[in-house]
Amino acid sequence: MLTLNINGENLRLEVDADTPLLWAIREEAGLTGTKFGCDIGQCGACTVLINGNAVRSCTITASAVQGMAIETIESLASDGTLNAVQQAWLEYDVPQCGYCQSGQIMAATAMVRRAKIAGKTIPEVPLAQLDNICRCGTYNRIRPALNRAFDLAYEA
Amino acid sequence: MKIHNLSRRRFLQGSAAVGASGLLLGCSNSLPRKTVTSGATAPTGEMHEWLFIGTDNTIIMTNPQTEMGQGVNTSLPQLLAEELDADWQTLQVRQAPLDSKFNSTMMAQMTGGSLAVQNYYHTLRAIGAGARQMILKAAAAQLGTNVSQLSTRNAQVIYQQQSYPYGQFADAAASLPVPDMEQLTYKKPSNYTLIGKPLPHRDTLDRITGKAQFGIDVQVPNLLNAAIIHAPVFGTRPIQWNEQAALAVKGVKKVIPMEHALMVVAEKYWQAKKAINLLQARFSAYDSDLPGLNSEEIEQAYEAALNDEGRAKIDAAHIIDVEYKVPFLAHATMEPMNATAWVQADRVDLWIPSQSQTIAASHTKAITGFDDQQIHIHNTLMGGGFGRRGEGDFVAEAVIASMVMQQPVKVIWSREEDIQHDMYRPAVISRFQVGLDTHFKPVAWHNQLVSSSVLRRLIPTFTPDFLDWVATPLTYMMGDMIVTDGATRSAYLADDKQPQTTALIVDTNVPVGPWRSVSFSSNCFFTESVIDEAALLAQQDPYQYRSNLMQQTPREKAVLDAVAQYANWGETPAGQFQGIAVAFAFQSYTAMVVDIGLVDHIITIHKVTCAVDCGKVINPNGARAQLEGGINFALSAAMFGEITIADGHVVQGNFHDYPQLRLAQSPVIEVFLVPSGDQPTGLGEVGVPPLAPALCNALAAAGQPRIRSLPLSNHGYQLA
Ligand code: FES
Ligand code: FES
Repeated sequence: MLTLNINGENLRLEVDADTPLLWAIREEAGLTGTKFGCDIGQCGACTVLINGNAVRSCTITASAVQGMAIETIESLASDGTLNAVQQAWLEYDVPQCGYCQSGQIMAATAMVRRAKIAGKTIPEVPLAQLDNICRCGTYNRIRPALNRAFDLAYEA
Repeated sequence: MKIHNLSRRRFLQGSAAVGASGLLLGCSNSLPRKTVTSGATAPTGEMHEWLFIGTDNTIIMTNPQTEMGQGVNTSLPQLLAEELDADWQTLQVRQAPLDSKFNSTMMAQMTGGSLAVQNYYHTLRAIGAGARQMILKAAAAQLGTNVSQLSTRNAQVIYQQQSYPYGQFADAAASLPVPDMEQLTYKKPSNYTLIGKPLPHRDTLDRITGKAQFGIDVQVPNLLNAAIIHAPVFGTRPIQWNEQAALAVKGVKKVIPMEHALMVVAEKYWQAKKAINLLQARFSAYDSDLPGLNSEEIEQAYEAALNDEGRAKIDAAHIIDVEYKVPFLAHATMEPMNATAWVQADRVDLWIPSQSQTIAASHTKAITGFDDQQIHIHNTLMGGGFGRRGEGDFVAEAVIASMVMQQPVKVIWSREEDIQHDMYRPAVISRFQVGLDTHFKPVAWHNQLVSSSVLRRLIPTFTPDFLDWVATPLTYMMGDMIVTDGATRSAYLADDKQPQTTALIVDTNVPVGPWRSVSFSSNCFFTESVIDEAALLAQQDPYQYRSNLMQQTPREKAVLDAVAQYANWGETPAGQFQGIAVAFAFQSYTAMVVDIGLVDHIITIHKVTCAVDCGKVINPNGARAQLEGGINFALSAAMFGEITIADGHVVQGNFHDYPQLRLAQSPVIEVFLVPSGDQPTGLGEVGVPPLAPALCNALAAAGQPRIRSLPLSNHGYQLA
């Protein structure tokens, strides 16, 4: 048993100390928006935010992040309002199968937030920072959507 | 084709549920035969008919094809909703249950072959038009007017500026005779509000908020979870394992040995996954008579077959005599293979991300002995398909697990299992002897290619059980016409000089299957590289050379000319190079120009320009997405895609050694749709074939040695 702070809620979860955060989120917290793609930190499908940083949740145990603020895709839209990245993804109709997109959006959200704090924008933020795999090949839309997300974030 | 009105029949599954009654339409199509089995009110579960209109104006359509990211949850509803004048915002779309009335022209419920829109273009529009006509007739009677006084919009009948929801007339319409196919009136294309419009995908909001439900997300009460490890060498068996070590892990319920694999079932997937690593399983030794111990052995068997066949002797002013090859490729769908099954005494429920209800059911039948009526398939969204999910192997394992556990079980493959137990795009070697006349015009084209056969493995799965005994011998008699797709017809050759192509089939121990664009993925690389070799030999511009030779294929020439124009062919800045390629595949024409820069062996792809004639375009937004995606998919394969075999098993295991393109490496892609005619043709796979040859032709334009094998990483190339 351990306690994780997920999307602003403290959850008592029945997980062993060595359970990866990914599977604690999916199987114990029941938040299936966070996806399994490789289990070795390669693809980014499992990306969540921990204290604001994008982390591949398959690479870290649940017990290691106790007391930290974990955000998953389910928390991004508040009161039905999409966040800047989601809004941009919607405008460019980015997803094909969609399976990688939770991870893409979480990673992009961390990029946008961090850049805004530092007062930076594209092209000062290298694209390579978003290196999640999309097997459907939606990159041609992620690129402009990411630009748009920066604009939206700065407008807000 | 005839449309049936089924509203008077009881709807079997939903009969206990309370709901509005209404109009339920089915459709029977003479090819394939579709039998009508159920009908009537408020379908709450499986919907065995195509369309339901409730008295509360709920409109539900059954999607005969499954959604894997290719957008059929949008494009196919557009067809029906257009002619019905449904309300696009409130229209509900469900995936078809197991029912042969939804069969595609592949005589199965199978989503593949770039056929979705082609196959259902007429059927879905007919159902929409038929239902609308019945609603109008009922409305005219009820409103005391005639049909000509009525119009429709957004699921409303409009009469004298008043709107009446369709549902108000659904019951009355249900008792009317169904109009004849021949009497249906269709909208004028100029009045379309949905067909031809760049609508966003219907599932986008769910896909960006984490709400989309894929197979891996399925939850049912009392669900157990299983991890699986397959015998690494194809065709071998587990012989020894440490069951106690696995059972000692908290939550683990059982170790299930199977012919080809071991499964660990636990309460949670992570527990099963942890336990499976403790099994320390040993497997039987390689015992196949077929080549497959390693990649070199397979290549030698291929070369031996080619040498036996020999080369064609040709007499021409110039002769190109070359050999090309491509490796095995895995699909690596973003969502690894998984399936959930619940086998009960008299029924089985499957929650599966599947491209084929029919294939899933045939595996299930073989295991359980159940018939079609007892098999309930709940198709989920798929995290990619690319052909892999048309297979039934992953479904069968879940069915077995549930039978053993007498509980619902979800089986999830690790990425390693997914890559090492695929049905691979076959490795192919292709030889050419091409004769050019004194003007460098091709006048003889001989091609011997060797591959293992996708068809030979698939045919037995498609034949009915009573024909099983004949299916396998049949595949040996028939040969494999799929292997030569894209290699038997050439726009560059006169009618009487078309390619003389011989396909040699070598069975290997490596299972092969359809991989996005199937044989076009290899044959287009070969043929479009060879013609480029001819152009360079002739010291002619590769685009002009191709265009000049195309005398009888106006649509192919049109996309070639279009892409050259859009890409500003021949006007590259210093240090940039262009390659071009064109393909005729899935009844569509696709041409590409790739613009590259090259420093040492580092390739920068500045742009991919693509022109496509896929006949009538139903959704330009979805069409572009498919082409963009196909290009990136092909680029991953061309740059780094390779599955190799050592000691009888696949060497690669995850994305670190089976790498995929990432955002910073992905090119700018410009897609131009060059529509023609009034029939849609294939789209989902057509972005793949021309990319590899166009890229390699760009390298040749940059003065690099001709690339005759893929991937480019084997030649020292990298993407910037
Ligand atoms: S599942 Fe975590 S990076 Fe792939
Ligand atoms: S949208 Fe399918 S993997 Fe990215």
